[in-house]
Amino acid sequence: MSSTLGVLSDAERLFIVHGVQDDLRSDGRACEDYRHVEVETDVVSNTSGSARLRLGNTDILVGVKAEMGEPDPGRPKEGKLEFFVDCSANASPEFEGRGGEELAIEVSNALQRIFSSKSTLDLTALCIIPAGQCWVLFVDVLVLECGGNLFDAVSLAVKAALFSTRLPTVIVTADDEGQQEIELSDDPYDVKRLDVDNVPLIVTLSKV
Amino acid sequence: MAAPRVCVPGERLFSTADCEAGPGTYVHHGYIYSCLAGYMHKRKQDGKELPIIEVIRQKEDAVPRKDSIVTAKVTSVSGRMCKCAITCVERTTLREPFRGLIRKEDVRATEKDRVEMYKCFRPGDIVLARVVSFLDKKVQVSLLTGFLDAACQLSLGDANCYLLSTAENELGVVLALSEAGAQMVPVSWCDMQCPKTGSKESRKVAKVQLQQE
Amino acid sequence: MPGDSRRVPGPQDSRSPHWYGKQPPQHQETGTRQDGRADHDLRPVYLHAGVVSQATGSAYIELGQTKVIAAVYGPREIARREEFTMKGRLCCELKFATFSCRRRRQHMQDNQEKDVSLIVLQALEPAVCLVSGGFLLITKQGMCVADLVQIYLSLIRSVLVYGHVLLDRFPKSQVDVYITVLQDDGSALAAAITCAAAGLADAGVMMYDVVTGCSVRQCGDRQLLDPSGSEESSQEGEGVEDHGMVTVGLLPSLNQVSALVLDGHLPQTTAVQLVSLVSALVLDGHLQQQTAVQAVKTCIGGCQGIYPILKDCLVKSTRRKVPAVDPTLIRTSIDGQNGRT
Repeated sequence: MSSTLGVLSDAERLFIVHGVQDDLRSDGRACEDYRHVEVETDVVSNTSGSARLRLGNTDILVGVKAEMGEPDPGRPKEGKLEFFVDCSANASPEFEGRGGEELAIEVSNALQRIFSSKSTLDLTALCIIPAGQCWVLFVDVLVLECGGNLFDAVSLAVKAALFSTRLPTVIVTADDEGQQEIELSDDPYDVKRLDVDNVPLIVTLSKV
Repeated sequence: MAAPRVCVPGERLFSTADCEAGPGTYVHHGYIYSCLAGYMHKRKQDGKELPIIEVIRQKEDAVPRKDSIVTAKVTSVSGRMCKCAITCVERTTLREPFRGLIRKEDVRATEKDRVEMYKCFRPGDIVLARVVSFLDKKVQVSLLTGFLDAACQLSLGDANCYLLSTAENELGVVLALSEAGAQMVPVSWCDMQCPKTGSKESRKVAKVQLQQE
Repeated sequence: MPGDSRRVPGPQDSRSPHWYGKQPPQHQETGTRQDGRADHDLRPVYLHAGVVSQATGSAYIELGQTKVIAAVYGPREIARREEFTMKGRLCCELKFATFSCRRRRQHMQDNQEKDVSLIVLQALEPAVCLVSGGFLLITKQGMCVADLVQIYLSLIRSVLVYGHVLLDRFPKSQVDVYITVLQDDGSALAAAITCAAAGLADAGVMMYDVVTGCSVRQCGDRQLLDPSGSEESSQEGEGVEDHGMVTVGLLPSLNQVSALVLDGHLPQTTAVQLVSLVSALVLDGHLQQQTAVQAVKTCIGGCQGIYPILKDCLVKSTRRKVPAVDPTLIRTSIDGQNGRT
């Protein structure tokens, strides 16, 4: 297939269309079949949570870094979630330089939109001191290889990474002057996990 | 005569059984729809039964097409090529100029290798040129569908510029200023003379024919 | 938007005084809305084409207090070398003016504006004839449906082209649409879509149809067509089952939907009815499946309501701008203008 050129001849196009009509795609799958998925969590040591996902030829690496910051003034009892997607140049030759920027923005906007709903992730669990300090989770997605179906793979990887995120338990004490002091617990196993049951997944359909 | 009807894009005009679709319209499910916001005209065609419907809006989106004559202003001249800014396409003036390129081998039809660019064009000259056609026998055309795009690229130039050619008698420099600043008068196909100083300068001059209107 | 290095940025920790004030009162439960409209009434629309003299085409729309202006330039040279294409290209850039929303916006385009620009581009692209000698069918087909508890629909486009294209309408060129929202009082996206389509038609770009946009806000079981700013941002109903906002971009004559933005979430997995209606779908919020479908139908009705206004505006601007000419005197170019299948 001349898929590298991105141009299909008429015969190839007809072949694909006829195949789809018979519920058969060019790699042998049925119309509603996924490719083989491999997920691995805790792959990067410096992060609070990470995941690597392979969906066919698509390879995504997600790292979650948790930092403490100030909450949004309009939502003082909630933490924050920031997404950043990087379509790196080694994923596809089209992503060289600023080529991958548009796609990266599209994916990160999509993620932003999913997580803006209150029912996806309970952000109140990320609150430390209301209107004072909260956890800010920086979710960074790195596209190592782009082999199609980027949105699905990214959402799966983000869910896995959030699942593996471990936030150290925070103890808030009030000291003598009434100021609130934050202490992290010493025990490395005393961690808080996030409830990712309601984190949505993206499924892509393409009509031929 | 009644004022012609104005139609908007997507307006259903007639069915294909009653009329033929002309410029500015498209056919969908047996009906003719308008493509533009313009005036609708229906006229009889010679030799055909059905009248033809066209939607006309005076301003056409002017883009240099293959084999169209363009007017360009030379911006820079080098040994191998000369860059210009295309200002008009046929009779339409463009709002914003496109970039064009005249290669050394496209300046003349004869003696292509002995061309000296600086003796044909100078920056500031107004030039009539033709956008190179891809069916030109000089350009190798591969007819495999996969390479059709590449062939088109050769004809319309590269990502930056349109490829122009002045290899005809009627094409070349039409207006040029001499070193003294006066508009020069053409003397022959390769010379222009300044009326102030009388000195001759070399250019590839266009033989402009007066057109009967 | 180019960065402005000469501008002195304001203090980083400045905050809008609205955070410290009381929340504005919610709208009443009873029949009428805050501005006295019924649930399915549109706000008065003012649409005028040909407002920017320097542009190839332009339009200005007022949907109640929401004011949007669009200018279309082109076809002109593609600015960046990497984006060489033998087909024409459509570019859309939307910007909220810094003073347009309740909270001051940055002068550079932020992510939300880039996102909205993309949505408007995807709403306009199916309508514009980019290739000649062929006919673009329902150009965007593709949606993402999540099959877990929350459904998140994101979009992937694929273009269906009939016939073989040798001639191209404006090769190596692009048409730029610049949209500025001057005042945002609800339904800015819908207004932007309608305005951009009017601008494109005013510029003389060949289109299959003009796109009209309309939005609906779902509050509980009330559907408010063309929500105003306060209705759009009201927090009410967030704990309740159904709340969200739907924006639809419709091609009225061809009766095709070119953009559908749903801020809601469907608790049920079947989105089959929506799949048959939509081309681009973005979802987050809370909306039952039936109510979502109903909301989309209401939006489509609203779009059909805006279409006569758009048509009237374009007719007036054409009469004003383009003098009626005798067709025999015009030499129309031969290639590619007849878009026959």
